[in-house]
Amino acid sequence: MAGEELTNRVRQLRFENDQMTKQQLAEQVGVTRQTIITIEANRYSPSLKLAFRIARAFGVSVEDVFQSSLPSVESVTDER
Amino acid sequence: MKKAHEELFGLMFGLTFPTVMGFVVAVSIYANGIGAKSLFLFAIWLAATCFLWSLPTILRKICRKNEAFRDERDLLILSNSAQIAHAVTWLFFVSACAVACWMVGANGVVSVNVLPLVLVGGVIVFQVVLVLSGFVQEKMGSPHGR
Repeated sequence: MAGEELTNRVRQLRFENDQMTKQQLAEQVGVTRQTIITIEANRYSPSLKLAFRIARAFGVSVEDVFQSSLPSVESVTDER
Repeated sequence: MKKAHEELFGLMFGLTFPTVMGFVVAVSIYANGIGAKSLFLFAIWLAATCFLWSLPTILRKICRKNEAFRDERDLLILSNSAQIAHAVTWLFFVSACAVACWMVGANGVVSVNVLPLVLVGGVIVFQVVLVLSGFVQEKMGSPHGR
């Protein structure tokens, strides 16, 4: 969808969690370090399963880690 | 040696070797037809190429035991690369037929050795495109995955 952008706070959350390294996070969620690098750089959107695993690794909800620029459901229905 | 240098070196060697040796195999098949020598060369080429491409995975599994050796992103890249390689290989076969028709005309004849040459060429094209597109996706990233 045009204009849709996903952002994330993985990098920030890593630093808030005892300066966790990319390697440590990768091992915790079961992916390669390269995948963590591309997620942080917004070059790859992880699957829902991986998004949940990352959120759990930080002890937060998925929406605290990943944000979307998509309009909320309420604003879409209001427009209609 | 930095990781980027390792990757570049791996790509250069990994691409050059199968391409050059594949070319030798193709020429041998064209010149001698399918025989024991050509089949042996083809088998060596196939084995060496498979070994070359599985080497990084084997090394990663041995050296970094804690690290996942293949995850969802790798599989996505592989799946995209395979689709691209399929399309390019199909184009290669179609263009091989078109070139043959164009070169000898509708009533012309083509050496029977051209057939294995085209088949082996297709395998080489598939391998090379698979690796190249995988490398490009690895570097550029696929923004929205699937």
